[in-house]
Amino acid sequence: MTALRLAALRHPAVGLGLLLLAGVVVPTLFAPLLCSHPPAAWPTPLRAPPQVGYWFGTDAARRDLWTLTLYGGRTSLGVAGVAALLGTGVGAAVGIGAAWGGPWFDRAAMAATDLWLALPRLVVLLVVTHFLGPDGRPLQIAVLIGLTAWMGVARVVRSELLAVRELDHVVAARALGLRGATIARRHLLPAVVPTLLVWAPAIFGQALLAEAALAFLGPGAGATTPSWGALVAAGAGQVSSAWWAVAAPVGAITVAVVGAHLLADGIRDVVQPGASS
Amino acid sequence: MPPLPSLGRWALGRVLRAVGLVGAVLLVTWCLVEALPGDACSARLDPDLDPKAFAAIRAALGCDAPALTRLSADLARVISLDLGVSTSRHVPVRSLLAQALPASLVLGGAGLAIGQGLGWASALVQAPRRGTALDVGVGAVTVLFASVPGFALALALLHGALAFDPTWPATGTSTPWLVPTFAERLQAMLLPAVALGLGAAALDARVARSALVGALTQDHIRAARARGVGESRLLWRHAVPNALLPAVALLGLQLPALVSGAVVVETIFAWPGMGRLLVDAVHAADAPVVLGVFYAYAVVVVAGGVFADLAAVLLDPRIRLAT
Repeated sequence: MTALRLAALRHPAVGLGLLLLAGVVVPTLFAPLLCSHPPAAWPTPLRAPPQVGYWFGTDAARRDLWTLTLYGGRTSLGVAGVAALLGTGVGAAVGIGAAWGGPWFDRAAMAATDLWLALPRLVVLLVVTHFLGPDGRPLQIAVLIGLTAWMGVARVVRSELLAVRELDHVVAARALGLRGATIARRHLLPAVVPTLLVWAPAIFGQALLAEAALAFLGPGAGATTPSWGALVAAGAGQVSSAWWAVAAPVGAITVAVVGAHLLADGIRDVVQPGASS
Repeated sequence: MPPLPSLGRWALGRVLRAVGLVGAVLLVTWCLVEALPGDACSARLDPDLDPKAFAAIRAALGCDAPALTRLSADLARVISLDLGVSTSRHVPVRSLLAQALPASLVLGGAGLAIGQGLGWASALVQAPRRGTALDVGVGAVTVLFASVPGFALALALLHGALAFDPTWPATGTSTPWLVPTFAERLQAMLLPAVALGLGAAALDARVARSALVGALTQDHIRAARARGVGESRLLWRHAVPNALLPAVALLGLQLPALVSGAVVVETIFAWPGMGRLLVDAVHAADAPVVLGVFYAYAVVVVAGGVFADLAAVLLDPRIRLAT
């Protein structure tokens, strides 16, 4: 495991991915130290292009985009982080349950997985937020995104465990009479940790894009809490007069998602050599 | 080895499963809406109405019937394609969908074609040169396009086109589908289709590349190369047909993502399809339209999955054994 960890850090895609993610996450965490203007500073210049002091420019509402992007990142990255944890966790639980819980549970779990896979994520999110009402809170959004992101994990975890459960040490553990939960925790979960490490950053990236698209299309979602998606939605109407109002949040989203993709690809290369190239 | 089921038998089973899936979608959404506060009657009636009259109308509309009665009535309505009346536009949801569905299918088809075309083109450049700078460079571009939010891509195309030619019919026309000449229709469709296709292409390129690399590293390729088969013949006659299969098999799984992308693209380019219908309905809190679009999308995606599976089985009959 230590050797694997070292190999992972030396892989160029993993290193670059972590670097890009840190480049977005760290400034967001230290936002209060890095912003000289409070989030709703007034009066800043109207639609000033990027310049010293207003690094990302200002928008049509005289807000400083550097400040907004850093504080908005807290919402977006937080939502994506919760969604990634939830998606991976639910996926692992469903996958382990399907592989270990007997044929009927397996059939039901896989039917539910197929059902969820058949539904377009953004459409489900739009419909559910519609029924939730206009003031969707970040945590609700995060949970919803996480609940639309577990299916891939569940399928892969299940198919890997179908092989693992026939391995001698697992059969022996069952013969010794260990409880199912103990076997799942000691023998099944560790076997799929590499898979979860590949999927978690991938879901993180998808969740960032989903949050942004939802805020962009949704019924005023995020109007009270700044997020990158809400910033793009606010800036989309002024692209021709202040392109930087869109470029700043889009750039932040892109850097973070590229970082997450590279991290996922790199980890896959390390834990499953030969899987992709 | 079990006997191979006949193609007709396999297709019948697959279609039955798809019908079951759509039925499950209907059932789950019905339960979801049922679990939420408020019902169709309280949404339709004025809350300030005299409580007695309110109760009488509720009973007449059938809102107080037992859940099972209402479920079967609602399902019977949906199956007979009666999806209710839009609360914001006051026309039957069915006729709204009948207008929007063709526009969405045309745009989605064009986006799919562009995505697969670009994706395979870049995979054909990458796979034979695996590990070279060109492979890594094209791979970096696909990662970038997979990471840029779809709406950013669409906005960039829209404003790029307008900066290049201010008269470009990109937006403002709410009915690009209804412009008179074919050439104008094509022009109106170009940017949305490219925006949709670029997002899909990034994913298609990655899938096609790894399928092609897998096909190129098989032993029979090495054997063919050893007996002097040329590289281009190796690629086109020996590798590409085998790489088609995993790519086609993934097509069905990719359709939901394409639909999600289309919602964004249709909204930005004012394309009169189902995505824009959905977004407008969400903003207007128009529940019948929201649910109608949701059902229509579910049917389209499930039907698309059946066609993708059928194509995969025609390419490789052994798949019939697996399902």
